[in-house]
Amino acid sequence: MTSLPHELENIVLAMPGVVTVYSSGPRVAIGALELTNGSPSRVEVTASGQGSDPERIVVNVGLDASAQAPVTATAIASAIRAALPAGAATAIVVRISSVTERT
Amino acid sequence: MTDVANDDIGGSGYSLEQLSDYLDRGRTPAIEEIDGNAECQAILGSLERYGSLSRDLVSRDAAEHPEIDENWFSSLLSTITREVKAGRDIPLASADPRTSISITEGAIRGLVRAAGDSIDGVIVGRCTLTDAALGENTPSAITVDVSISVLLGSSVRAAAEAVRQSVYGALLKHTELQIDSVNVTVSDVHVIPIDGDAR
Repeated sequence: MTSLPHELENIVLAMPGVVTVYSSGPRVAIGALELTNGSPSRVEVTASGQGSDPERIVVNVGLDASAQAPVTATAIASAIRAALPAGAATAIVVRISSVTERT
Repeated sequence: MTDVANDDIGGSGYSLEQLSDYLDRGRTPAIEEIDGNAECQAILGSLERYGSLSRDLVSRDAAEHPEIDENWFSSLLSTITREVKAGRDIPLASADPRTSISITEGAIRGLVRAAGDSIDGVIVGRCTLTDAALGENTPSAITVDVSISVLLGSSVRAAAEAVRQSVYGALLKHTELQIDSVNVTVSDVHVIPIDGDAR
């Protein structure tokens, strides 16, 4: 069974215009996560204290310069929202960390 | 190379020199800490673009002009290392109040550099974004200053104008910033190897 962070990472990576998903945290934090959770996802999901909906989802992306970065980022946010239960109040943060020409 | 070669890039635990080695190895075996780090990827992208000027040119020409070339290239790498830092998040419009979309200053500087470097015979030296409002994470008017080195023998005026248009176009396409001006200063000229051994 795929965890939500991994599921979201796969969804984002499959989207047109997405080159990569970057890690949200520094190396030390990721190393610690690796020790406790196995292979960590690059998508950060903060669990909510109440209910099953996550409180916050953060994704740092590298985008392809062929499409307008804001349009691609908006589509990413929509795709993440669509993967959540309807009506979830989860805050979604999409941060564009690079925009590059595909080589 | 200066001590910038030993700096930790983007909290990855890897230095500029190690990134250069990684590139030389064809990015294999894959290193997650590098591949998943935006600042490392920006440095690798720059190193790839300057490939012909880094290892080939520096090593080949060091014997002829050791001080000039090594200092110039080290200075360029030092500048790039500073510029790739993510910096502030500049917000982009979002219709959904539960959603925040932003682009990092580092990504914007990367856009500017790549747009300038895409012009034949041009190497971007330094790019600066100036706007007090950027500090408040508010999209606002910015001034972009770009210094470039132009290939010896090419038209300086044409190169500068091409860079200006390319940078303006990239910022217009990928950000929502209001651009006050894009100022291009030609600060240097350079030569490149021809047929592998001539300058």
